[in-house]
Amino acid sequence: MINKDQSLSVELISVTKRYGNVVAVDSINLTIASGEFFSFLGPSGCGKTTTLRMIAGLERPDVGKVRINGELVNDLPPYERNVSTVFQRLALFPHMTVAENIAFGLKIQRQSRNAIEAKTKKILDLVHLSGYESRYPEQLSGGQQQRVALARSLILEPEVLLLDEPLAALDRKLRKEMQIELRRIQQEVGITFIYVTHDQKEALSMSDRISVMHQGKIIQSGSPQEIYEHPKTPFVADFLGASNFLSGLLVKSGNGFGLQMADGLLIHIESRGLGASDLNTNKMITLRPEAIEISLQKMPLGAKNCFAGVVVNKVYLGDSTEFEVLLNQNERLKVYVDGHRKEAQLSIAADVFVHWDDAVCNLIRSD
Amino acid sequence: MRSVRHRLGRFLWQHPGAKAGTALSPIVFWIALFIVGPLFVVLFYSFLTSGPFGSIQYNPTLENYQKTFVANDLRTNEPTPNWLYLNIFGRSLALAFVTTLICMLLGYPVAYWIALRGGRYKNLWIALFIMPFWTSYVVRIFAWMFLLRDPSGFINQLLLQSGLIQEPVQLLYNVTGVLIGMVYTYLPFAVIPLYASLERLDRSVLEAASDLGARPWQRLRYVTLPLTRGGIMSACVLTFVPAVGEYLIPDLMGGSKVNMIGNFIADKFLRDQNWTLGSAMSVILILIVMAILIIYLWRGHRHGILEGDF
Amino acid sequence: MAAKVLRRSSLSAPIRGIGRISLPLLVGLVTLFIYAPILILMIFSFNDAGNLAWWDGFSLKWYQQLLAGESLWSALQVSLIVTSTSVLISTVLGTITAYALYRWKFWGKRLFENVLYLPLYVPEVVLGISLMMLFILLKIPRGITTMILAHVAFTIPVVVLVVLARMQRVDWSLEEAAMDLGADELMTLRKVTVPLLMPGILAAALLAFPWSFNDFVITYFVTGPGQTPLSVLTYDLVLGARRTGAMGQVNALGTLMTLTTLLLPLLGFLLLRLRRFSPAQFFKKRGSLS
Repeated sequence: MINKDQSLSVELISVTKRYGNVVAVDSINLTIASGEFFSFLGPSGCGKTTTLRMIAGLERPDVGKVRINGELVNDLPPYERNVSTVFQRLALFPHMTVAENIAFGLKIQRQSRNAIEAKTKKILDLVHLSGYESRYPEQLSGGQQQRVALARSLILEPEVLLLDEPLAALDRKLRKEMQIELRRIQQEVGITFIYVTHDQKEALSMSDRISVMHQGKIIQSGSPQEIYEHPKTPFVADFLGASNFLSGLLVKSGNGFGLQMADGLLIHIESRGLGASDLNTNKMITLRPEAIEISLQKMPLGAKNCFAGVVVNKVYLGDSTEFEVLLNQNERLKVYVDGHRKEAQLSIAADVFVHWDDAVCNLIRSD
Repeated sequence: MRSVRHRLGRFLWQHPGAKAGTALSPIVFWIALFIVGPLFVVLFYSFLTSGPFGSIQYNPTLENYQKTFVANDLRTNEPTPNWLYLNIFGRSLALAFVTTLICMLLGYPVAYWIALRGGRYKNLWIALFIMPFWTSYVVRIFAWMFLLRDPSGFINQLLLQSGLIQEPVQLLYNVTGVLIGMVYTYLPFAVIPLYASLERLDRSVLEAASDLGARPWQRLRYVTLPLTRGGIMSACVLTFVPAVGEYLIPDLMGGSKVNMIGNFIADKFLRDQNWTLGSAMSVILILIVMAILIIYLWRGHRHGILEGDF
Repeated sequence: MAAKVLRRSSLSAPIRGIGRISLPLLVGLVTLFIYAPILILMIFSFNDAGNLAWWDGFSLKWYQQLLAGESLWSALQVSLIVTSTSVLISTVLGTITAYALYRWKFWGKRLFENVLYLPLYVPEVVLGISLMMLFILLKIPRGITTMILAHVAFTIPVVVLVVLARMQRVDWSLEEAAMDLGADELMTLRKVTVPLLMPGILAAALLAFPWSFNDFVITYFVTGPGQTPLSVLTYDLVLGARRTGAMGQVNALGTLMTLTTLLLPLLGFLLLRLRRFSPAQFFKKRGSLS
């Protein structure tokens, strides 16, 4: 069952899919390694599900190649591909029991009754569903149905398991549980998982690697940390959580570089990757609200960026508090403060200082 | 064997068009031959000339259509409106209209009551109204003839024996008889779409109307009726369209005094052997039906009422 | 419970007095209007006097006369052959058509759909007569074959509509799931699609059966000598009764036909109930859980 071969598992080469005049997927290039937990992340309509369906063989690409384990599969119908899908609406056969659902694929392959029974037993153990064999899908809870769908696909030992927002219908708590569960199962069986979601937290917590998609294109691919901390575009920064966007002219400042904003603020930024040719061009940085600190006194040392401001809005979020701070009468910054800190008690109209390290400023390379 | 199937499967997957073509060819053939074909025959014949003893002469003419509207006055030889035929058209339209009206007036309250007050027996009630669909049309009409005849029909006997009337009333072989038969036959056609739209109605909207001070009639006038307009229009079309082409009810209950277009057409074929005139009349009847449907569809699209309608 | 009481009262409370009684009263009267003729016909089929609609003592003589005649049995035979053959054909063709319309895109789909539903709105007389003309022109002798051809043509749209209604409630990702799990198109059709559509297909056949069996107008024009189906026989008997006033036999025939046609859907309903699985219930339950 375990495929430890570190070769490529799925390869997409300039894959394009159109529906009428709408380009759903716009010449995507991507390589997914074997054994990886890979996620497509993006808003609805970004083309992530279409991409998944083209890997599964449920849609045919108009242009481009889809390779699975090196084999070109463009002309293979879904039932001849060694991939399996967990559908968004699960698609459990309502006229079959749990065991019949799970054994469906094996029965199609005409495996012996004994083999089917043994494999079903094993897979039910894996997804913790032993004892539910003779139930019908309608008699199961949402989480249990999820496990059946998973087992039904896994039993076929596919090279790749495709998951199309399988947790979307579950409530928050159950979703958390299932995320951990999915990750555990993936590590246990060791096959490639390709996961589609619009929930950034889900993608960040589960994946080895993420591709952020927007309007049919892959905007950025990388590890969760890379994508969260170093978004390449404002869209990625925004989609992966709240972000402050600041833009200005790149200037020399002391030993390093700074961003001179229109209202006079000068923000120190890391010089990594910047050269003299970038000087005097317009640049934008993104700044995560939790990377900014808030205090009543000016910081004596440490943080390179420190500005005075006024609290103009405050939203209580339970575990933290969101402040909006007005800098220099002009610039609004979003700041998160942990709930247990005394700064969380600050009220609107309070005069405060905000400060952050130059390392947390993420420079958008070009636009 | 396995490989043939295998290859066939792959071919079908790669060519979805071939799939549709193969699956649909028998039905396309059937419809073309036994629905479209006959209608074209009718259209074709409507432009030909009838000779004596039912023979057909192949010279194209519009005469059959002309005859429907215009007749030559026997004395003056001047063209005059053909009142004989126009009356039949007028009667058919009027009877279909009155039938539709009565079906709405009876059907709407019934559908309303079932949909909103039917409670858990809703499905049973609506089944009760659909059941007549399953019984024989001829038998149902006969049952009414049995009731309406005079003097020996059930109703006349009941009224005579109870002393409410002294002379039997004529209920059959006149307009009353035909109307009763038509309303009876088409009431389910009206109730079903009305029920469907009333059933979908969001009750909280009705409650809101009452809560905002609307009296029952105002609520009906300003909320319920406008919201079920789609159902009302469907019900009207579903009643009017078959009613205007009715054949059997005037045939059996009209006593050849209340002929409609359907009877007229049948007579042209079965009695007069005048296929060409009968064909022209058929084409006109189809055009009337089409016109109603086109208006319905056009208005429906404009008001967006077709969505999910029956 | 309280909410339910509130809802009921707020919907019915504003109507007081006459309004409150008149609506149920009207519903009652309309129900009476629908069922009284059939019930009276049934009662009077046991009436000794055949020509008078007044009770004259219980008798089974009309039934005896009717069942003794040979024409009834041959008409029943013709009707059953025509209806079962045409319903079988139209159920198969109609299901395929509904599937194609719902699932596939193909050239000329709109036109196809419009033409398909023609029999539903073209007046029956015109349909019957045009078919009669066609058969005469093609020199096909009118009889059982022509009746079957015609009946298939006008029951197909009924089947299509019923199956389409069912399709709207089917979760089509099930088909994809089957293919994804290794079933090819034929296997998917057999193991998933057909079982899922079965309630709809059965309902369609159940509706098409009386539709075909009871059809008079179209049948009347395409039937041939010596092959009279039941509906045409009934019509002939009605014409006879109208002339002679002897209604007893028709009453008896009507009673038998009504009872059998009402029993058929009941039987079908029970059959559907007995089938353990109903996807409709499945989705309803799932819907109510969330």
